[in-house]
Amino acid sequence: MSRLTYFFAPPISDVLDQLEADELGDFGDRRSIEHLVNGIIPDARWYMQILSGFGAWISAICFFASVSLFVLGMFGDSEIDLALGKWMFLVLGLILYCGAIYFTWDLETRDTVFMSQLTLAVCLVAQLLIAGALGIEQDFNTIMLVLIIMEIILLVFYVGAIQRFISAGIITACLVSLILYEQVLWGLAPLTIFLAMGTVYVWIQHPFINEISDIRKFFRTLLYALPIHMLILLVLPLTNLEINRNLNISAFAQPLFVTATLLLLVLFVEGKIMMSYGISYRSNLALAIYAGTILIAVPSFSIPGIMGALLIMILGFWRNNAVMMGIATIFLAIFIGLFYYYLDTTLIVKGVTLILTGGIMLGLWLMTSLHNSRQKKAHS
Amino acid sequence: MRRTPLHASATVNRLTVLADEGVLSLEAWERACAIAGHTPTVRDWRVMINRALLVVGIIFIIAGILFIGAYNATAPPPWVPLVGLQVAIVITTIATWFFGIEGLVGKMAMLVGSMLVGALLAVIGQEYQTGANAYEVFLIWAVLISGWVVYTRWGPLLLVWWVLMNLGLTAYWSQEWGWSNEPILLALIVLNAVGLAIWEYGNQREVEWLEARWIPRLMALVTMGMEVYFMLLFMFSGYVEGVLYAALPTYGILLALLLYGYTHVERDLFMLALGGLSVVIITTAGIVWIVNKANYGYNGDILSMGCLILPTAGSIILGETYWIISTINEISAQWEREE
Repeated sequence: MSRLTYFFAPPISDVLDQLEADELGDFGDRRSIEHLVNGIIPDARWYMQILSGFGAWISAICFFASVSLFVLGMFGDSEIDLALGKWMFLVLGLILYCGAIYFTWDLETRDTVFMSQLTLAVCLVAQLLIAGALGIEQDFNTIMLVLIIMEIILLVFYVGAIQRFISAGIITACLVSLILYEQVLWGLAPLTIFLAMGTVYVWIQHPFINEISDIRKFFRTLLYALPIHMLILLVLPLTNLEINRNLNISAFAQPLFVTATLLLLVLFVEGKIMMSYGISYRSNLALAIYAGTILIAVPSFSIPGIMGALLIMILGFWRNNAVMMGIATIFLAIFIGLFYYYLDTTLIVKGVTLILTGGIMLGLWLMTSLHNSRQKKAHS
Repeated sequence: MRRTPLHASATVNRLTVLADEGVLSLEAWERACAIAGHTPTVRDWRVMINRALLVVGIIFIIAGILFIGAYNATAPPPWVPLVGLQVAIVITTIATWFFGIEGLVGKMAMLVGSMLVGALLAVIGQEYQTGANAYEVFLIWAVLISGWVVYTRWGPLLLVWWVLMNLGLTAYWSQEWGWSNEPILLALIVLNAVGLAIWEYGNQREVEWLEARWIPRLMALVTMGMEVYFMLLFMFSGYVEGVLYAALPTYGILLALLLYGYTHVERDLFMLALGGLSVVIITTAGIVWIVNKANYGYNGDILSMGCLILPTAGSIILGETYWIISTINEISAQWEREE
């Protein structure tokens, strides 16, 4: 199994034949299936999306800058009423906000990369206009709450993966901002754990949610949004951000609690995966895997991100998702780097520790290689 | 035999659509994913863990060696890091020979060895205060590992060599010749473009290790990125003299070669999209330049800017991007039909 399976996966007809042989369905009416497959629009290549996005965004910025300048030009010479400006931005923002949601329901708009990028640009500008209008008079907490509600609406009704991803990020950012603003920093750990639990839930459950197509699409967005925002949140306490002179974010990270919870989640996922392969959770293999995971978690408890990245990596590999594997690898490298950076020892001790750890890993690699080749020989 | 849509690969996306439409049950979808190879087998897990242990173990050892190398104290005598690094280089070379250059282990060992050569040069410079320039370190490093690059014929190692050459030459021209940024930029554009052309020539001659597409794509991305920056300097530097005059003709030539080469010689949509993106960026910058010029001494009439200039600019960029994307999509469809 690898990314190459995308190119070398067997034809659909062969898979259907095999399913019929396994008595998992009757696919006699192949014409209707052909029609369905023919109608599938392939995902646009990523570089075409960048090209479309760039053009759409620049032109959208030009149009919205022109609207803003027009408004300013109209009222620039007269005594511009701040309240009037606020209402104009608010009304314009709401019109664009609703318009963008409406357009994403239009199938043709949704299926054109360029148009969907343009709609996304419109939607984000609308959010900026509304936030700006609210920012003129309202207090911080109200703005954050309105933004959260606005993003929840988008998360549910806006048919577009990027906007939903951004919405989930804005909701998380708003919650973090509220936590920091109200100085209830203990709230960061439960928020991180909530995202981690959500990640595990959607990654385990998403293949089983196929009753309603739109719900499936909604879940697919969360597949990426939840873990990525969780990983970002795990980086936050490591920034040593000072809220004020006496308050440092790292003091409220509760690393032991977060690592322990993430460890439990990793063990749960490992158990789930092993069960799917028919491996008993009481077998020697399962116990060795559990012991190995705990061995990784214990020394790295000060950096919960290591467990978080490991969790995403395991889920990504299980679901054959190269993107999540890549993201988890990058974050794992960052967290391991930070782990050694924050070790309270000299460089020489850190160096020796790294070499010893690397040596142990290479030893394990040699052992697993020998085991694999022995099994291969036994099979042949 | 007639090729029907059901002869298409059973990708996760296609299988999921079939499940969405009720053709496949949940159980059938899971089994279909397993049949099509989208669910890892127990053996896949073993291979993944095995490789992860190898790669992470090697990274840890390299990082450990670098940490010890950076430990600037009197505690270890100077010969310790020197001997340690040289022994490590010998070990990696023996490991490459032992495991063979065809497998991942041998290649990884060679990559580690190449990185250690750089660490060794840094330690030599630190211990003996040789007074060597930065470019000498980069260029000597690149020269020393050249044999290994040719021997392994492996993309990532070639990439390391390529980055070292770029860094070394940039430092050389600025330190030894006192060149300013523009001539260095032009020289790097030409050199990287020539490097890209050599790669593609090798690819056309079906040299096996030059078949990977991600390296020429990266080279093209860097070359075009530099060229776009060169053009931006030409437009916004405030004075145009010397080599800056070369910006426009080089861009024209590069773009023409890119578009012709990757439609007629080696078909590659990525390169066409890259060319298209550069055109959109240059046009946008051109519009900003024109607006800037037009507004000079004009005290910025906000209303005319809002009503006329920005909507026109937006429309031009919108239309241009749409046209480029449609053209690339048409080319793509034509290639698919021909294949």
